[in-house]
Amino acid sequence: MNHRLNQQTDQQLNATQGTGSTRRTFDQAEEVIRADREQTSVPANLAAKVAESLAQEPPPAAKPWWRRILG
Amino acid sequence: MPTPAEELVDDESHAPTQAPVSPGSDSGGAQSPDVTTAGRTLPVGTVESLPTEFTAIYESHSKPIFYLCLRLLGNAAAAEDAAHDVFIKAWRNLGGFRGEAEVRTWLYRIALNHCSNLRSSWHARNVHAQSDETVFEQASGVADSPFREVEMSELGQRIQRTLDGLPDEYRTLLLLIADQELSYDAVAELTHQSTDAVRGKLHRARKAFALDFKKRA
Repeated sequence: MNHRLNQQTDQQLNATQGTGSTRRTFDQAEEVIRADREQTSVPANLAAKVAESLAQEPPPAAKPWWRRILG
Repeated sequence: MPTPAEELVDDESHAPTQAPVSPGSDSGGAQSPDVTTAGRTLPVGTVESLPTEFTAIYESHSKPIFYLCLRLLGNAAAAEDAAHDVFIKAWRNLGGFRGEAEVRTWLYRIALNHCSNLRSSWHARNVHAQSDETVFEQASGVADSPFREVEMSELGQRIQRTLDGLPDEYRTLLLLIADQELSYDAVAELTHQSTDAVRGKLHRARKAFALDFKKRA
């Protein structure tokens, strides 16, 4: 709870100071990485590139009969 | 002697070997307005242009897969190509996916194998100073939190530099554990070790990351 309040306060402070920067406080490495991932965008044309490549691929192979039975 | 394409096929795949993935051929040049796949004509340029059965997989997992590739390879263009390859391999092996693992875990396995191969060939051509793991392990801790007042606009670059300075194992562990959809067991399976080993190494990896992150301020 305190952590979240700290983040909000920090963000509000920066916003009101008009510095154009945003600062956040984290507890541990995973949180920092998670925040970085959240603000990372997937390239807009990746889906198109994948779709174009898939167009040249045969449909995925069906499950072998023995795997359908045995799971 | 396996071909590069064969070497890159993940553990879950059992599909016959097919042509290597060639993302380079996708970029540049004029694109036709439509593509045809399995007898269907699809519009190019959107997620909707993906085969229907693949759209949900792409939408749910493209961001974590791209991010993993980005931080493992340290280059946006290379990560884009790598993420592309991961999804093509996943498509090819969709029929062989047994559903024993979550789709996210399965895709991560393909991505880790792919990036590992790319990094191996890159390291073979480039000399790099090794990270001093003993320094990280001897670090008693970080007195002041290095994660206080972190400037978000520089976060990506700072994280990349920090991860680049860590041993491969720590970097991979932290990136996987940061994904809350992955359990410790899944991370253990992906990194070929026990869950207890993951917990132990994660403790050291966090400390190493914090120490290095502080230096990069």
